[in-house]
Formats: sequence, C-alpha cells, structure tokens
Amino acid sequence: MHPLLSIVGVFGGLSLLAVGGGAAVLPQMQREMLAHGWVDRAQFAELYSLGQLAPGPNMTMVLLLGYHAAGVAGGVTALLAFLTPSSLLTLLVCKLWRRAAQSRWRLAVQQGLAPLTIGLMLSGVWAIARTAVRTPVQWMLALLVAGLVAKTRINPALLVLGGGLLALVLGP
Amino acid sequence: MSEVSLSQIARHFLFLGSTTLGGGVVAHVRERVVERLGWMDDEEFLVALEISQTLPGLNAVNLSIVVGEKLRGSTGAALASVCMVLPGALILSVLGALTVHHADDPHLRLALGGVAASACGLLLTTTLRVGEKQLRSRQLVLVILTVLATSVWKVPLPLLLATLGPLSVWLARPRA
Repeated sequence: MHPLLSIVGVFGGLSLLAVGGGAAVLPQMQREMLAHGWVDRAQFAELYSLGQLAPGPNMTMVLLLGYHAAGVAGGVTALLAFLTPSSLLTLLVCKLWRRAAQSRWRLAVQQGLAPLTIGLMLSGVWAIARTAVRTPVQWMLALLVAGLVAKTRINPALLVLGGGLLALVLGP
Repeated sequence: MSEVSLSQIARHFLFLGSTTLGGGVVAHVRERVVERLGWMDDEEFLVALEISQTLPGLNAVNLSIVVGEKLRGSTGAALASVCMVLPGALILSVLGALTVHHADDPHLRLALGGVAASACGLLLTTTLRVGEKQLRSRQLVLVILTVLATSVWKVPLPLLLATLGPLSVWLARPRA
C-alpha cells in the first residue's frame, strides 16, 4: 500500500479511538508505529516529549511521527488524518444534538469511559517510560518533574525544558 | 451580541494556540471566550466542554470546534480548530527538523533524554490528577483491567473499547 494511505488508515483510526483525549491512544499509537517500522521505541518517546515543548495540543506531535514515516507529506497527512475524523464527528454532534450535553446517557458515557481513559494513560506512561526512564539521572528527573507538577504551579513546559538542560549538565 | 467576525475568531484562536503551553488549554480558552470576550456564558461553555470531552479526539481541538460552531457555524468551527493547532504545528516542524538533522549529536541526545524522562513524569502526575476520582472509587477495578489489557495482555485498543467500553458505560448508567 502507498505509505500515505497507510498513514491515513492508522492515524484516522486512532482519531476515533482517542476517548477522553489524545493521551489515551499513546499505547496503541506506539504499537502501530513499531508494527509499521516508522519509528523505534526510543524515537517514539522522544517525539512524544517534543510535543510538550510546543504550544497548543501536545498530540500535534503526530506530525513528527508522520514525518519519520514518509517525509513532509507524511507529516501533514498524519496530522490531518489524526484530527479530521474526530473533528467531523464533533461538528456533527454539535449540529444535530445540542441537547446531548444535558442527556443523562451522555453523562453515563463520560463517566463510564473515564476509568478506561485513565488506564490507557497509565499504560501510556509505561510505554514511554520503558525507553525514556532507564538511567539514574532519568529516574531522578522523571520523579522530580512528577513531584514539582503535583506540588507547584510552575508551567510544566518549563519543567520539561529544564529537565533537558539538567540532563545535559549532569551527563549520562 | 453582534456577530463575531471570522478574522476575530482567527486572531483569538491563533493567540490561544500559540500561548497555551504545558497543558491547561481548557482554562485558557474559558478565560478568553467567556470572561474576556463574552462569546459564551458559563453554562454554554460547560456544555461545550462536556461535548468535547465525551467525544473522541483532542479536547482542545474539539472545544475549538464547538465554540467556533456556535459563533459562525461550520466555517467558524474549521477556522477555530485550525488556528488552535497551527502555531504548535509550525514550532514542532522546526523542532523536529532540528533534531533530525542533529540526530547523532551526543549533547542533543542527552538533552532529549532528559526531556523525555521529564515528559514521562509530567504525564504520570497529569494522569493521577485527572483520574483522582476514578482511582479512589470502585472504578479502580476498571482502571486496573484497562492497564492489564493494554500493557500486559496486549489487547488491541478497538477490541478493548468494544468490550470494556459498553460494560463500563452500563455500570455508570443513569438510574431512575
């Protein structure tokens, strides 16, 4: 299959599976990237983390996954494929079903999917940590940032950037 | 309220897309759309947020669509969502190109290793914070099942959502 078509298929599918936000599809996204050989585990963790350094939604980083798969056209295709299906669905629901927000079943869907989203996000942490948190310095940084995000109001993007600088200073 | 122009939508969503760094997009959108501009009242915003969070997709993008749709229909929705994503996409393209071209630089490898480890810590705390309610209730069983299914048993996500999804929604069903 043409690589751009594979990209449309993979990211278009992930778009509709992203229940409760983008981080929920991280484990499945990593699995599919590895299966297609578009990036390896370490690259996936790295590209995900670059997403934290740019403004806007973090998952815009699918652009970089697509770029690794098939160059600039691949990047643009991945981003559009990842955003379009869920966006069209949202637009449709908006137009057809404004009362959706008040429906008791909507609440049930949101509350029912929440534990799945949290579980998927935890699996996402694991998927990234397997390659990104291995050396003592990396352990220290991960725990330090986790603690600072929990206890302070410092902008997380600054903490992530600071973690990169600290790693540079501390060495391997 | 007089009709909001497309250029106003573009301007404000480009601003939001380029200034919301490190998460917290929802709070920023609310501050601008509800408090500063009065494009929506609190209740309308809550409805918009609930729709965005229930449907699949990125919350920030879905929220832009619901707000844009309310202001100027489909055109407004498309414009708002594109403007929300565009600034970050441009910056990421530059970051991505830089890291690809210097992929073998040992200093860059070291720094990116630190960035990735820190991002992992960030995601952990974000998850625990978002999931506080689920982790402290009987829904914890579903959280654990999802983690096991995903990370240990390697169940594909569509299959997981098709099985555990309806079950979990049923458990949270409206009671008379």
